Amino acid sequence: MSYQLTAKRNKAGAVIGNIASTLVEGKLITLVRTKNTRKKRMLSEMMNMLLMVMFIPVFAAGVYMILNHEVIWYRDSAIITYIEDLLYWHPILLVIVKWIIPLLLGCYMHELAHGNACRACKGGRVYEYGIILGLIPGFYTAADDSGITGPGARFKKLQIMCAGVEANILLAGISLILSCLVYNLREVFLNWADLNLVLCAFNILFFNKMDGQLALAHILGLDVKNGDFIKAMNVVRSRRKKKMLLKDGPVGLMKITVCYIFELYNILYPLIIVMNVLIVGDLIIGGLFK
Amino acid sequence: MIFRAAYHYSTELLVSLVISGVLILISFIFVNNYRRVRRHENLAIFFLLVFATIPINAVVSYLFYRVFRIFEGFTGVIISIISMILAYAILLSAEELVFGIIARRIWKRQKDFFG
Repeated sequence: MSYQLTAKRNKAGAVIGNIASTLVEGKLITLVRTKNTRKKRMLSEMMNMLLMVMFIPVFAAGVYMILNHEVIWYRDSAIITYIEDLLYWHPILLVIVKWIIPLLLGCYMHELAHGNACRACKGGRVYEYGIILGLIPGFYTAADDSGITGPGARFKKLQIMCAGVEANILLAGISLILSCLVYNLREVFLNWADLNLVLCAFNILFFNKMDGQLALAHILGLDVKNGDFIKAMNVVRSRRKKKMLLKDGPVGLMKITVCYIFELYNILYPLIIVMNVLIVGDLIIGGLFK
Repeated sequence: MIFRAAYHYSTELLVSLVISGVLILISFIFVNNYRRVRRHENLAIFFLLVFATIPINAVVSYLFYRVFRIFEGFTGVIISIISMILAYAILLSAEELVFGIIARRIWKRQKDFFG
């Protein structure tokens, strides 16, 4: 999972991350500290633009090639055969190449895309990348987008939230194309695409502090820092607040329904954990769960 | 595997896609013309999309149910039901985000949710 932290630097220079949600509470481990220089900003602008332009065409091309069973390169190249033999030489090596490398690469590209998108905007600052060790462990980007103002600020902040998902879609597209280009390693690259799509899918859910919910906050005009999502949760539990909202007519009714939808999404969180445990249990232990 | 399942249910997918597409279009036209939701267009679109996308989401999540039946026994039933629910939620999230961004592009001046 990927989490966005609203971060600031204190007077001593240390980064203060604010995780208001109890669901994603966990220990933070810093992996990379970064500076916001002019060169990095220019590079980030280019990479962010490239990501925005490329991710849909590349993914569409990948899906088209897979659906049409296009095999562009299928021959006994010495290097490809050597790599294939090496991969299937030991099961641990296959697991590393099939699962661990794409997972780490997907997470790395996801966080890098968030950071690039934030730094590309005037006023956006990125401080660090790291790992959260919580109930569902994940990676985080400590960034501050409060300095982004002016016309189009809402869409710039939306791009920051969506950049991670876009990066995963781009990687999935590249993997799909590679699975057709290098047919001998098709299974491996299809797995890379699968993993990136799973990363992308779970990140767009409207959980606490996930990319999807933060993007939705910008779309609906919810202020996360003011605790608007907590207010929305309180609407579900309070009859008085519901009555107050109903006085607004159809808009109030819609607000109440939307609050209930947020609540329903929070119920999904334990379901994901249950599903992960069952699938891993079924794959590893087999008969025990039956 | 999901693509292979999609081939078997291509007619259902196409019909549900057309129905959802028409319903989404009607939602946008309705929001544009209904004065009582003025300055709350994104909220209205979010609300209406929950119902407009039911046909396509139901068919696709059923596909996921069929695909995850590869797991056997009682565990397989639970996994396939949870995967169906999750697929529905993921699809709904994606649609809400995409059409939410489009709605923001169309109606730029809007009030905040608790504004």
